[in-house]
Amino acid sequence: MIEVAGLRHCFGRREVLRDLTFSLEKGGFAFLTGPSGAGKSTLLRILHGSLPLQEGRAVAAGHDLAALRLSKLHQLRRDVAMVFQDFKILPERSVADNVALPLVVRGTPAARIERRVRSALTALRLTELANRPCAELAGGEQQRVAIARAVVAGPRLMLADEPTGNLDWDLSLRLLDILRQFSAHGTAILMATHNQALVAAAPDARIIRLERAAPDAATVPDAAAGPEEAP
Amino acid sequence: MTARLILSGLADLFRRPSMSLSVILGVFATVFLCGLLALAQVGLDGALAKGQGVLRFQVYWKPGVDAALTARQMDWMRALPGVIEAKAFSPEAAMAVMRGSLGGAAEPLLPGAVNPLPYTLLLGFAPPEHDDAFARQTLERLTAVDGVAEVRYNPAAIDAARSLGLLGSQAVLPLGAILALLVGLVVGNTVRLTLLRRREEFEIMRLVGAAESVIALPLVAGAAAMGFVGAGLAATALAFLWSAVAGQLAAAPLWLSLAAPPGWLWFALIAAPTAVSALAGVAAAMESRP
Repeated sequence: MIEVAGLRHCFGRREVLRDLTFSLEKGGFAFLTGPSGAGKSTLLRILHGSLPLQEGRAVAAGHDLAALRLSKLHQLRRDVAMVFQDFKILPERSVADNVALPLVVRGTPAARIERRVRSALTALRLTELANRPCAELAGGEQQRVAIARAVVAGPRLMLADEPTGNLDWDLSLRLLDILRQFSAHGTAILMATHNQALVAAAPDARIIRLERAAPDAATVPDAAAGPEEAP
Repeated sequence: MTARLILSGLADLFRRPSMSLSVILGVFATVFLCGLLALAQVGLDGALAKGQGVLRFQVYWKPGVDAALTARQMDWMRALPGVIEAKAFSPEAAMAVMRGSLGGAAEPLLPGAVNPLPYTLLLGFAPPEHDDAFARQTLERLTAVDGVAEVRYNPAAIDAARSLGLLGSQAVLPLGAILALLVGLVVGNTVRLTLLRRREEFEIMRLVGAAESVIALPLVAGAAAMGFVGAGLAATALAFLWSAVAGQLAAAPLWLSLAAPPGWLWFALIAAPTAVSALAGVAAAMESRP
């Protein structure tokens, strides 16, 4: 579902990712860990088509990012959903409208949208907030809306950038459980997190650890070999 | 899917009514001005083509003149060289027309048994070419007839109409282009403003898999709708204005009988701004692409 080989990315003269190689199979679940500035968000944005592939090879949900044209970007994003650190929800629209957005832009029939939105809201315990404008929600609730939106269309690959950052421990575990269920149904999930306790709560999950690139050397391990211990 | 996107673009207009209204008013004003010019041009062309070379005199006799003598004088005038049309009104006929128009309200204006209205005769001449004196000589001959109170004629009106027609034909294309540009700018800038205000929304739509057409189509539909409504209102206002002005121009002293504007002109007045607006929407939506 994800194949990355020799990936390198720079912002100006600063190298953020160097010679990164890993893969994640269909239905796989992996944590993406590492200190701030190690390139976790950069990697997710590359895989989501928000940053160009500068060097190396990357395939996400069957889309070769090196060959991806701007006009086909929406096709990648229909297969690869992303949960953003800053949620990226529409504050003036209702919870249900936000969750329905990926289905609306695909032209999904209204009855199917309603059914799937209801299911996603139930899974994220948002049913009672369905008609509330997102601007009125707390941070944790907004994050759950963002997650519900990511899962509603049944993506092949889900990228999550610190999805539990605004959630309490119980909700974090609940979210992890939901994501593991999605993973079990065939959606590959790559979840960036700082939360080492959460990583420890899923001992069978793969861990892809990135290190902050030193000016003269990068310490990006090949995580394809299997799970690592959380530090 | 396409129909749903178009409907969503139309629904967006109602979410920002003040902005939509200002665009519609902008389109209305520009199309109204453009249409006014086009209608004036078409009307004058028609009037000039219809009355080209025709010199018209309206002869008024003094009230109370001898009817038999006046009838003979009218026959003489009809037989003048160059006469191609003649229409006479006796006082009785004029009174009947007035009563038909005013009904009972005419009675207080027409007191007593004596009909105050004069005999009149409208004469149309085809003047000989290169004979500038013809109009003056004909006027003198008609004025000299015994019992004639006044003679009006129209060379000044024809000259004015010809001048206006020339001015219009020279100005219509550049002005039309400028006004089309104005429509494009008004609508295009509004769509750009909409894009600016909804930039975050469109960005999120792209992030969840929206194709560019999904973002552009509602914008284009909304832009076209604003152009259509503005142009439609302008065409309606022009139609009312036309019917009011045409009646005024058909009377003395202009005698400009305006033919109804052709259907294609009304179609163009609505279709062109709608198309320009839609194109402005397309251009603005293209600019917003990442």
